[in-house]
Amino acid sequence: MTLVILALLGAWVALDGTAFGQFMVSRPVMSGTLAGWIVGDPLTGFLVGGVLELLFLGGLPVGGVRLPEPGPAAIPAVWLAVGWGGWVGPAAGGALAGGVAVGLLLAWLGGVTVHLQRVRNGRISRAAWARGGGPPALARAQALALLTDGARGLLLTTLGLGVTTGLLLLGGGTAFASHWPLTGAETLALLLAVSALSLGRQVQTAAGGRTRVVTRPLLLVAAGIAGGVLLGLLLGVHEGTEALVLLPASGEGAS
Amino acid sequence: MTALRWRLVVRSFLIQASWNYRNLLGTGLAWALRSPRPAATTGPDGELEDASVGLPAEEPDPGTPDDADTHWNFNSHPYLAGVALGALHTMEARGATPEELRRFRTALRAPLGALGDALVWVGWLPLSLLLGGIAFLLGASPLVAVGLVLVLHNGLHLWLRWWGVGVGLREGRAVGPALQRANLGKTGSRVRTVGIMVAGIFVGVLGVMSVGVLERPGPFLVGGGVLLTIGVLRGMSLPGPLPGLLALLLLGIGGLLAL
Amino acid sequence: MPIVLFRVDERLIHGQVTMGWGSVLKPDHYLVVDDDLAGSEWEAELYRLGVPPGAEATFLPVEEARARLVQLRDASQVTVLLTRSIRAMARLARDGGLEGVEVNLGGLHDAPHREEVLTYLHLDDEDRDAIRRLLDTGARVSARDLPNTPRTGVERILKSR
Repeated sequence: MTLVILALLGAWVALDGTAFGQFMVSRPVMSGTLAGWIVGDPLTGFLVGGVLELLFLGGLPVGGVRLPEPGPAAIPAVWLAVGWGGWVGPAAGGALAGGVAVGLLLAWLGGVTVHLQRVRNGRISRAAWARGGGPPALARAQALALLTDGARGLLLTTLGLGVTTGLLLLGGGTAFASHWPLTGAETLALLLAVSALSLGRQVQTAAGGRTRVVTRPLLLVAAGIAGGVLLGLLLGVHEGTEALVLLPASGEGAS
Repeated sequence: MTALRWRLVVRSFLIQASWNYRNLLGTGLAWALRSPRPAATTGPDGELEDASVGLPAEEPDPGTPDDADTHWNFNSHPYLAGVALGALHTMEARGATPEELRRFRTALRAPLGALGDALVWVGWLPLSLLLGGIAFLLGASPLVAVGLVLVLHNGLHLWLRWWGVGVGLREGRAVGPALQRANLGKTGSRVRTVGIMVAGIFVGVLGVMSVGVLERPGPFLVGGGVLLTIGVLRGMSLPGPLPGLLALLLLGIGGLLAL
Repeated sequence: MPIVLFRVDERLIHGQVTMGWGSVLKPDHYLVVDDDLAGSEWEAELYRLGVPPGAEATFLPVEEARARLVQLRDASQVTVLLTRSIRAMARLARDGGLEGVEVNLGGLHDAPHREEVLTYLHLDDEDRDAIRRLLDTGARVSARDLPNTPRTGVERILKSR
């Protein structure tokens, strides 16, 4: 039952990306957290989705350029991570790593299917115009495109869930996760450090347009970092927060 | 006016349904403009408000019938597509010629994309996401953090759709000066500047937290700092999938160690 | 290098140009070379909406732009030059003013008689002739929609049919 709900969530998330609404539930941090909530572990969902979010940041959908599709991908990613015990489990690092790896691969696969969908939409829409382009033909084209895109999201997510469920049933999977060389906190830190690359790129893109001096965005970020460090120290986040108090780290953040 | 405005706003949510490489969202635009009014609006209310408008555009389609779709080529940021819907509707009602409608569509697709990209995709959305992330780091639960992002982002999103259709309907062809007055470009630029600082704040809070949580935070902080600097300096000249590939490479190395 | 990008893109000043290329090249001037738009203030006004704050846009007919090409290239302003068609770019290049310059094909949508070369690039025979004329003037030609996506060389563009 949970798997059916997750697959349906995948269909909605895929539609939200382009075809219907664009409320941005299609962002991986959204779909990941929702998926985590559905399976009873929103924190793992948020962390896996959040890492994917940051890694794919800066791939802006300007002018309909071809992009990966991390939204639906985050759902099987979270399913696997939670299945391997999630963030509070004994193999937090392996669970996080496995989830993110699956999410990355599925996001690229999803991007390919988005491209195929758009090619197909071209044929659907062309056929409607060949039939005279009247309101009924246009409405049918819209409905058909919407339906096939939803089915695409459903199939893609189902495929992802099938593969990850297979990995979960595989006895060695949990053992593999527990052999992962880093702790949960270290794995998260590693992935966040890598995603600093896309965050930086996003910063430069946001500074784009006119700023010819490259130092301006650097200075703005530096000012922000200083403020963030101050804020973090003032609020004592180094001692852990309510949301992250479960951090299974060996530092003083653990409780 | 209100019933018409609502109808166009609602249709704008589906305007990208058949987004394709041939005419982008042109078919969606034509659908939203040409579809007859739903039965309900032929009642007393609708007749009062929409009697002169809402009729399908009688535009001769050039070329072979097979290629009629490409004649409707149009693109826009989805949140601002309502500006085009409203303006084209009003132009048709005021008797604009097909050639004028086509040139208007052609000219409008560029700024509606550019303004929306600069304000939403590169501005408001990343800002909302980062604020949600900071809220989480400061102790908000994941659901609260995600809820905050949804509310923040969609606040602007829904307002833009509603406002855009209204401006379009009111101004028709003169929508350009009206958009200029609304100063979306300047707003986008401010939002992006704030977003850059907030990205820094996010990194700063994360850094403080990592010092408390990790046994050896040094390598992660240095590595993250170096990569952040590279990202800022190289910007969009970094290939799109590079961060993801780097992450996958590191995860693969870890996976080999685990085996 | 005061003209940092010569781009053929039917959408002219739009997100890929201002946010994508703009964030890398930092132009403060967008020069649109187009006979129709140079004579139509209401259309030019719409295109100006997409210009980022702090930058400006100018609309010139092809002949005038060609006459001023040297002057534009020596100006201190950093300019992105845009045309809506390869033909317009070829006319601009007629006197060899684009010799050694790389012309970027960034967006030509599908239309009757055109066929897909890349998802963002559709060409008909006239477009291909215009590319050859451009090459004859000494310009180089390649396709790329954004600075961080792959570049496609002219051989592949002309071959694919």
